[in-house]
Amino acid sequence: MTHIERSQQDMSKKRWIVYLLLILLNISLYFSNISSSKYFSFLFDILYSILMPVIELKTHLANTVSDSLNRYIYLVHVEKTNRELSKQLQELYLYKSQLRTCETSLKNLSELVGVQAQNYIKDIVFAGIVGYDPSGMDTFVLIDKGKDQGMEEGFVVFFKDKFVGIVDKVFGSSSRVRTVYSKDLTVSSTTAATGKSYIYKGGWRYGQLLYVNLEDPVEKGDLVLLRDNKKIIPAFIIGTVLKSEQRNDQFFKRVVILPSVDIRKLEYVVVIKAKL
Amino acid sequence: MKFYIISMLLAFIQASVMTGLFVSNLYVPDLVLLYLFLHTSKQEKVDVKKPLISGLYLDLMYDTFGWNISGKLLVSLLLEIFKSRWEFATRLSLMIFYSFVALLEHLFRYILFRLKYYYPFDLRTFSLGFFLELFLLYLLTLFIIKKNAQA
Repeated sequence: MTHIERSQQDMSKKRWIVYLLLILLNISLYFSNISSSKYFSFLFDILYSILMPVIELKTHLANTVSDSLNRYIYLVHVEKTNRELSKQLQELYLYKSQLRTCETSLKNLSELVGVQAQNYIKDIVFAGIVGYDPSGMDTFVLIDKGKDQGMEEGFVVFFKDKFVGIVDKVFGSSSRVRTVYSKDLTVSSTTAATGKSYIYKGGWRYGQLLYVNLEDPVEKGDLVLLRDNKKIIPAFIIGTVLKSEQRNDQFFKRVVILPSVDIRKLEYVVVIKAKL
Repeated sequence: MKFYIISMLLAFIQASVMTGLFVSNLYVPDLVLLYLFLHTSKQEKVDVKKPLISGLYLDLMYDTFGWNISGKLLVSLLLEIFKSRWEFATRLSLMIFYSFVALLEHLFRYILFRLKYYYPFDLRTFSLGFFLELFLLYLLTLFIIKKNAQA
């Protein structure tokens, strides 16, 4: 090996050592937070005061780009949801038309037989939720419709096909709804399997179905529905049977119900202007 | 001088637009590293000032003094070691080597960051940023080849 080659190798080794030292120095600077250390912070303060317009512009640009991207993703999501919802709406229009046909047929039939046809709900109010139960047990919600919108105590509240509760106090422009999680709520109910009349008593976390005979086929997973003796209010879902067991009672079963509605996810509810 | 101005502009774009797109500076495609690599791979010896200054631009933008500089110096050291033994004869070899050193640099910086702070690692965003970086390298090498052919 010639003298020149050897000296070149030594040079490159020296450079590598310089690199390694610089890397180690920068790592230690990074971990020691040099820009906020008490000895050097004044230097960085001066530097950043000079660079401030550039840093501000950078932050502004980053925020603008990030916001625009998030807005774009959000709009894409909204468009997708809109498409889904318009499909569902189309289906609902079809059901509505079918129901109208049914209603006409029923009217004709009732006239022929001489029986008075049932009344159907036409008066509903959409109400936004303005307050929840501070105890965290979801026993009530406050809605933004009150006496000013013709609300009355006893009106039935639902969301989608789920029973939420009953209006139990009406104020000037708001009302309190006693929910399915409240111990003070008792409503007439039935199960999809038996069709018999029971009493649903609310509770947190679980409600109960009272007076279920030992021989009644109420099983885990059965749907518990609202029952209106006048048959005006639809059979909204109250919950599902979580446990059905025989206790010391010689007549009735102990049936535990998991309410279907998630109170804290609700943003608005629908109030039927009719009482149970 | 041209290198320092371009790398400053790239550092600004990386810290503003790209960080806005990728949310965290951990997953941002490193435009400065890309430019530094392309610039220094053409030179016989890597000027130590170049990784230092280009890393400093990024550190000033992110207020992470030492973090980016150490990453850029590591890449320059690796580049110098490799160049003393092998030659990047084809575009493919250049891209393979870049993907190796860039991955190492990102990992190195991520480890440094993770030792100091906590931030969850999102493999999807990281991969997206990294492959975008490789795609940019591919485009730039095409451009360089075309320019060389014209010359």
